[in-house]
Amino acid sequence: MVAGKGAGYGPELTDIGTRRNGAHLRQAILKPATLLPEGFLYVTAVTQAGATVRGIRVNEDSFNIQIKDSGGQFHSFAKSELKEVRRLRSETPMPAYEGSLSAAELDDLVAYLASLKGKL
Amino acid sequence: MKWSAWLVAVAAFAQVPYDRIVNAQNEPGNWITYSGNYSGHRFSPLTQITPANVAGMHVKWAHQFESGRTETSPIVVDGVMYITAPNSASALDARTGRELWKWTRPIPKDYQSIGFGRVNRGPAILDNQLFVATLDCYLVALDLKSGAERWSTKVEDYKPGYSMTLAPLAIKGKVLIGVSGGEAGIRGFVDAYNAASGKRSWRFWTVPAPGEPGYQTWPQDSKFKDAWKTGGGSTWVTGSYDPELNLVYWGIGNPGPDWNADSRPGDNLYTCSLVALDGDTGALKWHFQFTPHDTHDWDSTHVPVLFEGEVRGVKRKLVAVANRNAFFYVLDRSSGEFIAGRAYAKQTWAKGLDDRGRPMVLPGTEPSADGTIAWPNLNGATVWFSPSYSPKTGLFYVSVREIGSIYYKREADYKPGTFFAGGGEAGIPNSEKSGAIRALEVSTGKLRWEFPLHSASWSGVLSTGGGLVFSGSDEGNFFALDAMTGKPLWDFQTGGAIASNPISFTVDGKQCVAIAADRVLYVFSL
Repeated sequence: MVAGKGAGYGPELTDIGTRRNGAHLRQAILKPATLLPEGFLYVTAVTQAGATVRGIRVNEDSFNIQIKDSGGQFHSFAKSELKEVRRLRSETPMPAYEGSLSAAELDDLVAYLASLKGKL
Repeated sequence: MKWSAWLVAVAAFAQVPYDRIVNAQNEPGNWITYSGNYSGHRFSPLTQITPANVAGMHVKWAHQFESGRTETSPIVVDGVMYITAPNSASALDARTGRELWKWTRPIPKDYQSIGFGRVNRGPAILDNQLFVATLDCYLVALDLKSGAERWSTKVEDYKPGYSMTLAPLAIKGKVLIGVSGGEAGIRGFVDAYNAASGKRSWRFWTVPAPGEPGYQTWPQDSKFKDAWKTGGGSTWVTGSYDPELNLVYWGIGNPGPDWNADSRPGDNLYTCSLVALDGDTGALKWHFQFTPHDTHDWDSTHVPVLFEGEVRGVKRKLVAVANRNAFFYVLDRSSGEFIAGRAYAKQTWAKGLDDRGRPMVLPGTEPSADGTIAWPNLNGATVWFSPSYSPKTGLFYVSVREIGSIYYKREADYKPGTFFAGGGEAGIPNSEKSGAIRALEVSTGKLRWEFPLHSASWSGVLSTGGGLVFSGSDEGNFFALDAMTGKPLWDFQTGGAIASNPISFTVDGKQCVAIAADRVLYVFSL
């Protein structure tokens, strides 16, 4: 999300330029799994009926878990209703753009993100 | 009856005489002392709420405090609940939570809590008075009916670092307190005060002075000869009491400075010990030191759990302690003899306990300039919040913290009223942290079951005659487990981290359970 626009479930980007430098942003775009942001654990919940919900863990305690899926939808489960909660500690829903962006496109994207300093 | 005679009769009638507290098990509808009984059980004999019906429990009422992280453990007597907050106490209608009276004492502007939070863990009750320990180190007696201050006694000067956060312990004619300040270079003590007058009856210093028994465990040479004066040994958690033996059991805190022990070679008695004191005189009957020469801030300030058990076929009076150092101990409470012990949580500092219960410390586990990794962390495998013992299941329930730490050693210069710890700790990067409620066999410490928690908790545990175990979590869950199996049966999201001890009582014949969560006290019933 940038200034209230966009969708998804990653970190807020409106002021990302004040929090991360260009090198970090470049690596996060190319190899996101190497720079997993804190507080955005990717999980898969499997219900007793076999349904699967995958998304970012928004909150968790000893009895319940809340998950936000890629469409921004919130799901709340009692753990007792789940067959399994898989914590995908080395995975991220963000695709790796290594090899799919040209050097110029990557430079433009990094420059744009680095320019985001707060309210637009 | 003439008015004068009526007044005399009223004065002579004590609402909560000592005998009521001794026989607390005879009135399970009340919660009459900090741990529910003198034995430190935090067990309610009430049986209305059971594994079969606990799912129907709901909020009966709530009370909001003025500030957060409320650690109070209420007293409930005859339809009135008594609660505390830092330098304040209130009486609430136990049926509705509406306030009946409130007492406050201003906290001095120059008061500072050195090494702990501004909290209060509850009151004590005896005869017609409620007793409250204050942050600025006064013991205050309040009239039960009005909250009017009957007396206040200065326990110590708060400016060098003394403070009080604990619930007092009222025994026959006396009120006992302990002090915080182990990170400020205090010399700790347990005090008893005359409940009627507020005059001090006795003091037990937890760090012996030259010439006193135990002083030989402190340095004698001229360079460090004054180490005992700043030796710590705080006493900030309420003890237990055996009326038959007239012995008070009190846990003693860490030696000071905490993480730099260069100035205090030796075992440093009576720090990190359990002491048994004569209730009339404060004389030391016996001591048992859990962590000699502690260098990790592992206070032994826990509620001691008194129980009767068989040892090699002979029935004996025993005491159990789940210690901050990650070992569980069973001692003979008449003599202090070590009976049994074992680790109940992850620990990396000792090979085990020898046949007298002394830890066999592993080399290289002390704090260092570059940092030394050890389990548990400074808050220990458990800490001040209460365990529970159910005589019905024979199980000891404890909230366990599984966190390691990097311990650092730094210089320690004593200046009154400042932090005197000689180091600190830091988290271990990428290290798992967790918590659990564990049920241990009380006579051995052997694990019977555990309920894993999402994170390490600061909540105490309550067990009940109905077969339940109640506790709380850092994420705000207040929950009930099956006392025999640990199976989760009910939980409620309180909205605030729980750092307090649950209790149970009755209102209009209905069993209630109470817990404080951050700034709200909740009372639940079916």
